[in-house]
Amino acid sequence: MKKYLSKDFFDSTNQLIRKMKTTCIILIVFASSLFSANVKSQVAKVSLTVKNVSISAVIDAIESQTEYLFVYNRNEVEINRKVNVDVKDQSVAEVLSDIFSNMNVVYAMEGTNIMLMKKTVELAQQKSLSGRVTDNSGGPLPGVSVVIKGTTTGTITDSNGNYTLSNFSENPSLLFSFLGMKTQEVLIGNKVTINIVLEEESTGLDELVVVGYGTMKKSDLTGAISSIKNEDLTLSSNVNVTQMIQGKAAGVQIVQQSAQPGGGLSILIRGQASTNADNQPLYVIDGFPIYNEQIEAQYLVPSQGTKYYTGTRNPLNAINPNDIESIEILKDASATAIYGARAANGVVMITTKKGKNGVKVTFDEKFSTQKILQPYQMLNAEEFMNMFDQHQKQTLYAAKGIVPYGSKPETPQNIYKPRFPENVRQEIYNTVGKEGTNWFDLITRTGYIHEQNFSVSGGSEKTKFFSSINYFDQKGVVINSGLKRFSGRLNVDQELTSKIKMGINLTGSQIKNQNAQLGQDTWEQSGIISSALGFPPIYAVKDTLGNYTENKLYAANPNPVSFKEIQDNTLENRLLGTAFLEFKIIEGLTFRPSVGFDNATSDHTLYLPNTFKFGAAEGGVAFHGNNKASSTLFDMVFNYNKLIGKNHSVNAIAGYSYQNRTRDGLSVRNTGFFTDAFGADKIQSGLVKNINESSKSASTMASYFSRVNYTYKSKYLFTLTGRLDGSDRFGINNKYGFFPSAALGWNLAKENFMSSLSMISNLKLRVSAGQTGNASIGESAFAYYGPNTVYLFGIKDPQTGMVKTQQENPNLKWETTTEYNTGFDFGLFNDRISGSFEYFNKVIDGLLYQQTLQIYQQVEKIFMNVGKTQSHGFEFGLNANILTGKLKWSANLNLSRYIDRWKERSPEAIASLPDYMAINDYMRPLYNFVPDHIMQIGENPQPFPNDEVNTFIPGNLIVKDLDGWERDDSGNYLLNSNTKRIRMGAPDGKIDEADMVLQGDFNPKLIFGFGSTFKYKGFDLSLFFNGQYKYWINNEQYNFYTGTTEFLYGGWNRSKDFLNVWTPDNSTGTIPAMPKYKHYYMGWNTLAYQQISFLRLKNITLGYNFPYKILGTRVRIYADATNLLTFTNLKGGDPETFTYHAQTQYGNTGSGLNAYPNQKSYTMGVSVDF
Amino acid sequence: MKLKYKAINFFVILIATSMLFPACEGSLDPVIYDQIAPTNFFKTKGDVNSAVTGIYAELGGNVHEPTIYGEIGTDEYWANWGGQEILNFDWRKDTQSKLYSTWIPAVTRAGNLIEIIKGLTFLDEKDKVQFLSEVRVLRAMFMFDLLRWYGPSAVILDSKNLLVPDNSYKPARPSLDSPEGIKFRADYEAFIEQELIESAAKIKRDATEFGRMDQGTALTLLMKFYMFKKDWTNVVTISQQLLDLEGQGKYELMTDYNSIWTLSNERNKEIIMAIPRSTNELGQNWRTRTLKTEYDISDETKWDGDKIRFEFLDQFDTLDARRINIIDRFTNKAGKVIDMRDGAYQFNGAFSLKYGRDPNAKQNSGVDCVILRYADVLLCRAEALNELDGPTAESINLVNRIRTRAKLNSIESSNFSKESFRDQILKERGFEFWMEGLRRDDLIRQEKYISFAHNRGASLAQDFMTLYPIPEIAIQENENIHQNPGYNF
Repeated sequence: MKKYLSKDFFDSTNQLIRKMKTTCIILIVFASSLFSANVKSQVAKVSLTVKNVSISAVIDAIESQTEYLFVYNRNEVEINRKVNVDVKDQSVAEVLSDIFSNMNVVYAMEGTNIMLMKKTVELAQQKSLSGRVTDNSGGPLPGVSVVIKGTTTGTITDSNGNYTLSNFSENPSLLFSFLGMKTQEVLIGNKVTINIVLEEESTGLDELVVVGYGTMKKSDLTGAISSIKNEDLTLSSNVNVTQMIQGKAAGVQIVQQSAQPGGGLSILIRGQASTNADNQPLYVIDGFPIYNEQIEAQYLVPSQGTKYYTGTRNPLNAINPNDIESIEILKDASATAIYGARAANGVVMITTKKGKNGVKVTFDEKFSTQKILQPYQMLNAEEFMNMFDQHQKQTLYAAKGIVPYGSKPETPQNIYKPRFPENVRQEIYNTVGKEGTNWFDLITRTGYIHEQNFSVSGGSEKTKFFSSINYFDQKGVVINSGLKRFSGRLNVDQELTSKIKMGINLTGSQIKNQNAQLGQDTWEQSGIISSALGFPPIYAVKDTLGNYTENKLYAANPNPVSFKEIQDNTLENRLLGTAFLEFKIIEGLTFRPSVGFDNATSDHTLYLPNTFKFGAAEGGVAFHGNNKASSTLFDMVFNYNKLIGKNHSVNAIAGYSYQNRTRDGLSVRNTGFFTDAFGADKIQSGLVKNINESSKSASTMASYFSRVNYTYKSKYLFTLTGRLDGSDRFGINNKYGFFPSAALGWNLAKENFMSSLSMISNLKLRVSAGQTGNASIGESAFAYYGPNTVYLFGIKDPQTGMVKTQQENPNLKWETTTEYNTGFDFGLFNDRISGSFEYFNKVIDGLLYQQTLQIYQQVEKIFMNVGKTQSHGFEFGLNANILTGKLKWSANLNLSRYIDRWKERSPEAIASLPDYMAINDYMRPLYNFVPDHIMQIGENPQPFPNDEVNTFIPGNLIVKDLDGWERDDSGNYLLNSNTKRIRMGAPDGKIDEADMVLQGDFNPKLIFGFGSTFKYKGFDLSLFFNGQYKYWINNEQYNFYTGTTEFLYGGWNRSKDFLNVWTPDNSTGTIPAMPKYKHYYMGWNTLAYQQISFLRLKNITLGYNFPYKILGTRVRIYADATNLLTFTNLKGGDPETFTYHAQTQYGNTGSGLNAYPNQKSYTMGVSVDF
Repeated sequence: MKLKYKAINFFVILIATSMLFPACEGSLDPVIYDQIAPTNFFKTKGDVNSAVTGIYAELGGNVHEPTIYGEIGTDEYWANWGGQEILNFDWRKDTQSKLYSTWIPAVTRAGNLIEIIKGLTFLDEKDKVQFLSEVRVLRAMFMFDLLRWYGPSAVILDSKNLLVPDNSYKPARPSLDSPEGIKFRADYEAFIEQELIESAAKIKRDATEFGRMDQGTALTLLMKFYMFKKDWTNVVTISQQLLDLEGQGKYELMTDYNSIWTLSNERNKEIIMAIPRSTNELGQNWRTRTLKTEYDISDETKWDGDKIRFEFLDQFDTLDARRINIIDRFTNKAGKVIDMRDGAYQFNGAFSLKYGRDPNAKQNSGVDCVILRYADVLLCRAEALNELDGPTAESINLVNRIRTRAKLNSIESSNFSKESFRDQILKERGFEFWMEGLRRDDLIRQEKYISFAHNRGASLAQDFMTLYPIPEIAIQENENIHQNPGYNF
């Protein structure tokens, strides 16, 4: 091997380093080990005076004075030849040039290695050539490999993009190559200068795609994998990567659970067919399968209802999205089976950036402002009082049968006396005006985000590194909410010898969350948002004494603004590291052991001061909870690559993996503080008592896995995969599960018979089948007693009562998913248009199910594997480079749909199924009465079955009579084989459960995303849309604040929409009337359901890259808007801010009440490469 | 080409070491850290005590459920929240499954613990007898509750099924009107009686800690059982034993009726059994349950639930000291008089503030829940004596002890026949025990439960409704369980 490395390169690098030292000291911190070595070597001078000694002795002397190591072949270099050296403080290069000046030897320096080689060509035949390599903007490209075609002779461009090749033989052409750029070939001819511009590479079939435990060429894939590269991620105003891939990959549905800073998201890959086990995918970061759970300790019960709930958080907030090189989403069983028991919901592989040749320093700075998309609109003071008295009056009249609800006339004795007579109103108007206090405005604000990202990447042939530092600061749109992240990364790859490589990926982050109280319940359990929406507008923020006002209609509802007195912070630290060694055993066979760890801590402190209602109630409340999760991984993989003859290519891996995980927590709390000054920092100063809690759980998984890819003539592709997973969470009779898969691919485009169809550049058919598992069954397999009860005896503290809390099931195991996938990839017109289509069908068997035991048993339920569901659907993705000239236009589109259905249910589940539902229903079906109209005065009440005592009154919602139950002659119901009543198929004149009809599915009929990018000269413009088409939601927010009118009476405000409620005076009102009819069958929520669609302009970005010549560096400025436009038929609220939707538990189909409001963000940013 | 610096040796060592890692696999045995595996439990007296505590905890959370359900559906009680179906006798398949599904497994848990304690060798005999007696009294109490609300029930009592649970086992519960049903009832009742008699003989007279079962609790439960059976002779016998305990200074009647449920007079000698409560976490919410927002003179949480019917309140003598804490009129903070009978407030009843204020509690008060008290013993004895011999001096005197305390004048035996004295006792019990959960039993015992329901307009009430229907779920899973007579869903 020969590689010439010019002296110029080193010198100019030194220049650069000096420049950078002054630019930013941080760089040195991160890259010190690498640079210090280089700096020393390159400026290293030697002093040596010897006479008539062997070259080998001189080499030894240089090695002892510097860090250089010499590599050479004894047969090529006469190392015993005697030489004289007399130098003082001379560079190594000069010394070597002297020694070898009249020998047939050349030297090359790479890193700290110096290679000595025999000259292959006589000097007389050699020529020299130089030039400059730049990118589109005219900026220099350092680190570009310049090689004479067909040889290994070459060099690398320096920091100014310059290269010089000398002393090479006649050769027809030069190859310029650089990762991420199109390789270019230029004929040398008689030229002495060759300047070229490298173009960015569009993703092609040779592109490498990350798969489990390795990479594969895209053209060799047989599984269904979506690959998203970093350039496709829109980084603006996003703290974590999940938000950025929303809508970008077909078959991946991402739903935001909370729009708070760093709020949780759920990713669903190909549906959500598990009922009790988790539906979230496995995340693998740089080969480390992480446990992606929120570990934060919560004050009181960690449920969404509790007022102090801090909301969901995305554990991936710890990963700086700027560091991500690519995200691969493994979807079908062929791709996922390598992760066995944890892969049933797909695998998200996150790969971080690696260093490239040359040094690149990038600095990004951006600033965003955020505005609430849809502020909640509540009744003002005047409207509130009107509606309050209206409600009271109608309720009273309905109860007493006064007209129009009954026949009794209104008399001075029974007439309604208003709660807010004119004099009371005047008093209120004098304090807060007719508009009253807009509490929501008072607890919200304009948010901002400030982010700085600094990265350095670089390397030589043997050492590559990437390092970054990130600072992200977000002030949320709700007061007291915010997030600050500091994170750093260092990825290093080092070739130790030609046979041994090693690498380390290390990232650490610290996130300071400032928490708003996001409990969604109402009344005394309300959090800040809930409280602001409900608190009557008739009160001022503070009374004349300066104290927060109380809701006199419901005293337990805390003043919304008083929430800002609470101190609530969560500090999260995460350190994730992996390291590997890779040995080349023989040609084609490598062995790669690796280790990794993931340590996460979450430290939550909360103090409720005496200025906050519930703090005052207990004399101040302090809580401090510290939870930790740590995971360690060891795995080793043998990888064998072999081309047998011309036609047979084999790639095989086999490996072993061992991973364990521990979670523990400790929390303390106290009340009754003599001062608020300590906050949660001196808990022992509380008066009442300390409550200390701790918890711990751990799990271990040991696995063997293997995959074989075989390719014949690059046309026929075969993949076999298997994994054997053992877990200590499985029942003792099912310690190990085996998960196999097989796939076939056929590169049709390579067949001779396709050669005439030149427009088709790629056509590949794929089929796969396989099994995977869902192992998220927790500790469900074991029997135990738990300290779940307490009882008080005498005057002692409560004593713990132990009760049997779980029954053992030794047969309990993972859920098994069997999946079939058929797909094809295509490329037209030399891949200007490319895409793929997948159809999948998977059956999940042995669902984790809590079977009810006989009522007399000590424990109510036992975990079993019962029931079957099916998820099937399609995915389609399309990329097109529509214009490729000066104006470039590319576009992409993805569409997907899935349908989840029941296939088998347990007898118990069938027995408890309502008569109107079918056994093979959608997993999330909507059965509902069909609303018809609002009953008017004088209209006859709708009939009900005889056994019902209730009747409708004017203003109630009348639903359609659509069906009835079959009865025999004596009036008994006819039953089918499942002992369910049978529909007669025609209206029966009664409203009962038979009139609840299937209205649809809570899953969308189509999930889509599409985008376009335009480039012209230095400008680029990209737009990205996402959306979902036709799906039912439970619009809780709208319904709760227009329905549940009795809440008004308790002093809980309604939304502006409520003004359109039916009353005797407003008979055209569309909201059902105030004295709500309460019926056995129909809750208040018949109207809660809405079928919606939405299309959102998720991102629009306009950027400008300054020509290199102008500023001498690459500078990009851009402006971005997120969530700029939304088209939806949703009544109120935001279609993407669903608190419950798409969570792991089956049946949670609500939109979530009192959710943190979603935002519109405007971002300005600048990115500079030094 | 040759490497000057070799690393091959290092490579070989590394492979060798890495091969050692699979050895860790032995740890696939499950370990659970913050729960206790059955194999690690019942090793110490502390373990046994915590398991016994677990059975006590079956008595309930914020309030003792049987107390509430002893009121709903009677002439005393009204609420506009849950329980409407029971209030209106609009009963369906699953009208009341909660109590059943609480007590049936509680009987199994207690039975399982009894069998386990019997087999423990490390406990000394005295401890063993005491633990066993406490759990046996608790189990008898759960079975008695089942008997009163659902009739004799299919409970697990045999050691085989208690120690080795088999989910396919389906205990039989014959139709109660069949000959098997009559025997089933007799056996079930005999078991409760026997357990209480034996435990009362073995259990300590004075519990080591307030709140534990003691001899008085066992005897009072036994007396109440005989009341339920209308076994008047035995009521007289057992109540005499309790009177003897009064003689020994264990029990007494408080002079101030309203002080029985106050924080300052907690654990007084009128209480035979109470569920100890503490502010907040282990508090009870009787006041919160009844209070309504308008009552802004306290900063307590207000749920606007349980109320005393005005019709019932109106039967009190105006001098009766026992009605002071039934609030139908009060002055709010603004100085305005709120009359709860004003239609604008939609009250159909008055606040039942039997329990005094715990100044530290907003919602969950630390005042103990009183379950059994000595006044009940006196009135039960009076009733039994009347049933046996008519209004005698002793029985009239017992009632007068209660009336005098209530600041009412005494009654004379000459004014009463056996029948009218029976009615007088029922009335007296109503005034004395409002919101204490005794009303349902009293009305059923005196066969007034259904007729009183009719009187206040609950037209759906039928004679068989003195028992709740066995919940649908219990019959569905076990075809050997027969529904209570009268229910044809």
